[in-house]
Amino acid sequence: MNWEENLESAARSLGARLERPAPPVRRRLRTLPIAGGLAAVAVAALLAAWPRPRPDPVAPIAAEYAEAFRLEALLDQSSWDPEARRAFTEAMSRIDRAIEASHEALRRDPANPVHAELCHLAYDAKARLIRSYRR
Amino acid sequence: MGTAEPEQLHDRIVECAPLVRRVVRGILGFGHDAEDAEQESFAQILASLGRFDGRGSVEGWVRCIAARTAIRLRRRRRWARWFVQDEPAAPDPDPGPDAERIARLLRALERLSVQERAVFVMKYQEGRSFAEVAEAVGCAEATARSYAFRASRKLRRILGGAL
Repeated sequence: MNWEENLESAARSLGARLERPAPPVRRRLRTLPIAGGLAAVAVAALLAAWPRPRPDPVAPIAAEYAEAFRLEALLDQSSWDPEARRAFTEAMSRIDRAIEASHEALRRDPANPVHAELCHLAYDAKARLIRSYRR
Repeated sequence: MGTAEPEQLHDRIVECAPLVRRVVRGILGFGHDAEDAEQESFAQILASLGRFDGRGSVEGWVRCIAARTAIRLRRRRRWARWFVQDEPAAPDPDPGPDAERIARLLRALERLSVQERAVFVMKYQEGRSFAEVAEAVGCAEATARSYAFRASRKLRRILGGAL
């Protein structure tokens, strides 16, 4: 009997068996794929919920004024009279406080264009102050 | 509805119960899916009674519906098979004279694709022509031949020629 005939004979025997009552079966959960699936879902959920570092909204604004602030280091305050030095220091400290406040506001609400504009204005005021004392 | 009267047709369909069981179990094995497919097949047969034109045999028509229903159910539940498994709960109470050979063949059939298995059932188990096999499986005759060839080759490899 060749393979094909053998297969046909076995298939006919199978057919006859399949008509008779089935052996009792029970349904079982496959624990390994279920555990794997749950682990994959948990990892995916964790990755989705993981806080990603957001870009600092202040950095690009500060970068625009970096060149102006480089000049601050070049100011020779020792040659100034005390009154001018005091006025400069006072004005600079007020502007720095305004810059700090604008940073805080912008970091709290980066999408708010008003905060970005205030930050620009504060930096711009500092740059103008430095330029005015450089002359 | 062709030559058969509704009552006669109904009786002949009832007589086809073993055939339906044989085909769906051949494609799905012993288990809950086969039981579901058997019930679905009869629901499908009753729903399509009006479409039976009486040109072919009732058995051929019923066999075709059973095969298609089993294939559809296997496809529908392909993901569920990753998570649930039917396993013997007790020794086979009616193993028959050829039990070991049949058990080996059933295990090997598990490793065929659903199309290959359906073609195997229709061709080797049911002894149908390739035209009938193609109609039941829903493919071209040449494709059915190809599935049959692949099924035979795979089974030979799995069983090592010992059947």
